[in-house]
Amino acid sequence: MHGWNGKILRVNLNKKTSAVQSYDKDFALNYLGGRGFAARILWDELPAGTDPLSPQNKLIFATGPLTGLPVASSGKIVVAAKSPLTNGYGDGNLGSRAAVTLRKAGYEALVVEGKADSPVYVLVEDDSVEIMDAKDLWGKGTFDAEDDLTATHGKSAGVLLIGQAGENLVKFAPVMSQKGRAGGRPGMGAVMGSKNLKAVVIKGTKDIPLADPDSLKELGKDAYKDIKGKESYDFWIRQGTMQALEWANESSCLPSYNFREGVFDEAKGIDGYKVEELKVDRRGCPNCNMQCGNVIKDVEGQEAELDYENVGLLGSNLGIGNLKEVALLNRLADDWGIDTISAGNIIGFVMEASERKLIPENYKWGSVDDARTIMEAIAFRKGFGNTLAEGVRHSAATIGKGCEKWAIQCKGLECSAYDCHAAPGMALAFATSSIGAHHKDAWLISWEIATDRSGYNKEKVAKLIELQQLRGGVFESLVACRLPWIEVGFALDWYPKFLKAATGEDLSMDNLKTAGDRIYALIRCFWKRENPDFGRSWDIPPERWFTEPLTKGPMKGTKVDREGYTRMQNWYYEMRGWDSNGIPTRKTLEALGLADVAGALHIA
Amino acid sequence: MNVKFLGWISSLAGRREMQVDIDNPAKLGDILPFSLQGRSIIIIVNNEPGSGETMVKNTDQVTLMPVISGG
Ligand code: SF4
Repeated sequence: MHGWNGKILRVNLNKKTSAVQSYDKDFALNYLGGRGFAARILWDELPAGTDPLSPQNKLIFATGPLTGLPVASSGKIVVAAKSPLTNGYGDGNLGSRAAVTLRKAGYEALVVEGKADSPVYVLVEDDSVEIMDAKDLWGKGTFDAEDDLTATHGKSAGVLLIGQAGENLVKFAPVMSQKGRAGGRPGMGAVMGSKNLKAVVIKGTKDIPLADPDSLKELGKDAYKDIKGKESYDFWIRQGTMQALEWANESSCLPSYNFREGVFDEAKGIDGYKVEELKVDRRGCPNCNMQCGNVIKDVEGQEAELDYENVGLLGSNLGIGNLKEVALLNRLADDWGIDTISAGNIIGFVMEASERKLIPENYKWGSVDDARTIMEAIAFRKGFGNTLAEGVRHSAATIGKGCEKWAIQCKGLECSAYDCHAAPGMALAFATSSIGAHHKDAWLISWEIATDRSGYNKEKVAKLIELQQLRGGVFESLVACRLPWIEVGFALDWYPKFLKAATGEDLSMDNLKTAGDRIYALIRCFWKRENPDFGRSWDIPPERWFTEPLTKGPMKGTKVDREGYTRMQNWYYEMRGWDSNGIPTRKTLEALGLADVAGALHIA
Repeated sequence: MNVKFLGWISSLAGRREMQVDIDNPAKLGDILPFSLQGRSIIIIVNNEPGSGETMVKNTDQVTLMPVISGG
């Protein structure tokens, strides 16, 4: 087989064993890699009802047929498991040298099973696999621990690891790499911690088998040149994703004060232009020529890497308009290994609860000290932080008194940085995202604002599904960064060409979208299997967006219309071939080659 | 009329904001300092989607934004 190594590495921490499993071309073509591989493995191998923090859960690191190749932004890896935060399918991708080295060691995926007796890390060096003692690393932040591992194993080693938050089983702890890259928001870091696994270190020196290496090299070169030549490239290099802050503020979709206002009076203090003023460095993922990690010095003089999501949630959502203060929170979150999006969302929730005097603590909007106190309590599960570490849904249920209405989450995952009061299609995108409220699967809001943001129509739903096929399906499974495509206008038709040169297969965008649908349907069935009451009531955005209109800005007074939303939800199910409860029908599953899944769920 | 240029469109326009006085309603495309042809740009006029063909007047607020992908 070309393009794929055809091998999955298995490590069992209980038995202290490893094994190599082969897979065939059918599996590769049906599930592509990354999210597709992870979803199928979890469906096939996890006993229904598995406790996500038990040794039975499986932690999957998965790459795809484009990962690690000399093509645009291909240095990413997906990390997946059953989520302890949502009890459904969880994953995320992050840029890491480990993405490239895993492929060069000869594998597309690493599946970690069981639980070690004491802290360990897994060391993969091509065919050699060792389970190493990590007692000295346990308790360390991700920055120091990665430095230690790099000092021991060299700079060519790719490192994926957790901080104290993952060790403490904070349910939104992600997996970290390269001091600032994070993936697996729905608690993949907690799953790693539950296995006593501090890190995975991977070195690889082999060639990835390619159908036409010369063509791929040429294509890769042309693609990098194409990206660099785009009109928007220079500005991207200046601001990266941080340009979205001004964009969101002007569009009334910037989270502020726990997703109440959509705009932020102090936005200029934390926007992309402010980043340009303060920038000291730029970082990024391997194989990328449009690196987007903006580094500034925080209020303590330490370097912190910023992007829009972090600043939206840890800045405007908390009423903090000083970028250096936001950078401090961001740096601590990265070091402790806590998800910046969920952390900012939950801290905003706590500040509102304090404002309403629903909790005894007195926290103030705009106070970086208060935000830091709350985040530290979460990361180390101190006091009320122990409750908050379970996520905003759980925290709201614990406090009660109606605050569930302004716990900004879907399916238990905290919403990322887009207020959807005036973007009903984006609200549906959050609500139908395959991991809970995350923007990566379908960022509809740009399209929605450009066309008809107040409308509830079929075109919007069709566009949402197309974006889910591409972003959540294709990019998460190939595995490559989607940012070149939209951000600088790198054309989608490069990807079938890359795939042809890498794998020898003629895979059209339509083929890839079908694979995306297959993967999405499988994930949907996974949620159903793990949560018998799963259904349409799980696809509802936060109540605040329906009932409490925006309080400021040009869209003041706007909220999501519930009837309009329900109509779009119904169309969404119809277009996807799912029943009125949001479960894929047998016909749909059979057409996608998932008859076995229909059988397992007893779908008539 | 006030026109805001967000993201990389500010580089295209050479400024982040522009104030224009127009005596009579005019086509937006005729007022902008660059061509919209072949460019993927979101145009908002008074909070509603617009285009180069939209007739604008002095009191209008126009925002030109890039299509971005959201972090
Ligand atoms: S664009 Fe940013 S996120 Fe994407 S690969 Fe490059 S550095 Fe990583």
